[in-house]
Amino acid sequence: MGRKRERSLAELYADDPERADGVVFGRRTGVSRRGFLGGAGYAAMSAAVGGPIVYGASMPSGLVPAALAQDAAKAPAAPKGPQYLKFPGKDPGLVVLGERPLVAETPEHLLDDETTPIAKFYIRNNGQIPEPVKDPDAWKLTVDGEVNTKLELTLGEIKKRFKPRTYRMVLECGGNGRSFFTPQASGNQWTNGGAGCAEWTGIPLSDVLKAAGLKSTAVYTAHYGTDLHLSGDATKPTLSRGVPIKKAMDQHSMLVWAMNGEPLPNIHGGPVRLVIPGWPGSASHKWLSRIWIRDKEHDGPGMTGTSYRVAIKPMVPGSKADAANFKILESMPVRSIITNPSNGTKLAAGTREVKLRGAAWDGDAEVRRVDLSVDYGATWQSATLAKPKNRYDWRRWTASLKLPSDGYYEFWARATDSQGRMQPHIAGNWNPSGYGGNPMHRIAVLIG
Amino acid sequence: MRASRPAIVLAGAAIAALAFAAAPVLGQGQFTPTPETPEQFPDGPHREEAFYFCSACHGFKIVAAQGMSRERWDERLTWMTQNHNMPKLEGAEREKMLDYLSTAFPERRQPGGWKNPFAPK
Repeated sequence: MGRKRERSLAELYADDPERADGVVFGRRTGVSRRGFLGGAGYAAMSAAVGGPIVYGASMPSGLVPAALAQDAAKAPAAPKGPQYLKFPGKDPGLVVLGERPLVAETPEHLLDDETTPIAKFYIRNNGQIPEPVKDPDAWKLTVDGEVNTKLELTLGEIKKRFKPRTYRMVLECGGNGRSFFTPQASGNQWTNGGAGCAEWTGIPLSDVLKAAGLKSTAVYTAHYGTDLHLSGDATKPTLSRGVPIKKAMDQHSMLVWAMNGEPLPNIHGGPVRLVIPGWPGSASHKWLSRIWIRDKEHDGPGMTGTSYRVAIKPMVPGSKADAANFKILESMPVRSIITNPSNGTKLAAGTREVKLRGAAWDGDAEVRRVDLSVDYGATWQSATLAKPKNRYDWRRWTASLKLPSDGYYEFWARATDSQGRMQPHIAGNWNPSGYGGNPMHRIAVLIG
Repeated sequence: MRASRPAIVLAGAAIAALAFAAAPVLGQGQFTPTPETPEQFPDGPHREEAFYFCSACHGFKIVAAQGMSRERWDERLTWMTQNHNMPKLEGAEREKMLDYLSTAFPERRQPGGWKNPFAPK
């Protein structure tokens, strides 16, 4: 890693002017290693604009690019409250956590459908969003490494050669629930909305791995996609995670090309992605182009340090992390959400019973029960759980709660998994990047 | 008072404006990020340096969404260099960056994920 790229100024600005501005600035501070200005530097640039340029006020505005011009004139106020997503085909209720890379979560009340529509499915990118491909069936996937036969298959060939199946399964960002940690953990500040449950159509990843023939030395998968790193460095994978062979061979770990019966949208990794259910979403690689079978635990970007890892020996919240004390986050923790009513609902005075709907899911374990409280956990009552369609499906639930009076209430939801593990009151096992946060979901409702 | 922007920055920006002011932001498929400016974020020394340095690759909103101690910001810078191609920051440059980040976005000890919708304004 770290090959320097010599790029012309023109090339840089043509690619992405905003980024180029930053690189230019970075160069000024003497910290850029990209070096596109070579030794020219300040003198050359001053010459280019006809002499030294002093501070902002006297700068002709025509010479200042949009991002800088705005600050001289009228800077928009700092964004307050949630920023809602504007994206073709996406529900405008999704909340933007970041735009570059584009990350947006689905507020709990928008996860009220039995199957999450594509429009409401959360968006997580690590790099730049690729342009949609024109001929999905020509998409190429390579399987290599510790296999008997290296495979290079097009999506069209994959569809012909293997028998497709459809499962409804939860896909969830590894950082879901991060915003509940105290002190604040670093990364996208997900509430519970980095999750959705869609019908995925494709083939078990194991079909392809068996076709390639795993050698006895095969230990781990390594996934690669075509999305460009944010820095624009084409030699650097945006992200490359993997899973142990055992997880890859589970029939629910799939190569997927359709979502809710539609061709997998570009924003969700189409034409083809992985869905590795129950594990952090980053293992479910988008725009999948290569699976490299490794003879050891994969060490690509996103596998090491504190990324997608949790502390082994519990650490003091906010303290310095020792990378040696971290293990890979595999199965996601149990989680439940109230999808109706929404947080902040006002109901008529005299309302004494409220019907609730929600969902609960877990990583590799299963949801055993969901309980609800209207009195801050002093008493609980259980919800009625619908049957899951298949393993890794979420369980929809319903409940009816009685209230003694008008006033302010909080409804708390808590799921318990098949191993007896229930959601805690707070996000525990603090870690600097905030993985595994699954406190009970909480909504406020005002009666009268 | 706002931190002054050094002349050279404007010079570089001016070249950009002359040549490519209308060039679209590429690489985001069907999505064009909203333009950001330093003034949208908390004022303080070295705000401009931090803004342009970080937003070379990613939006500054994600920076502003963080709240960390100086030590954790320092770890984060190292992580950015090791994992995400961030040019290495050392010495005074690094201190400036940490000054702004840890002052503008200090450690937060209130969980950010849940807000009471009925809280008195």
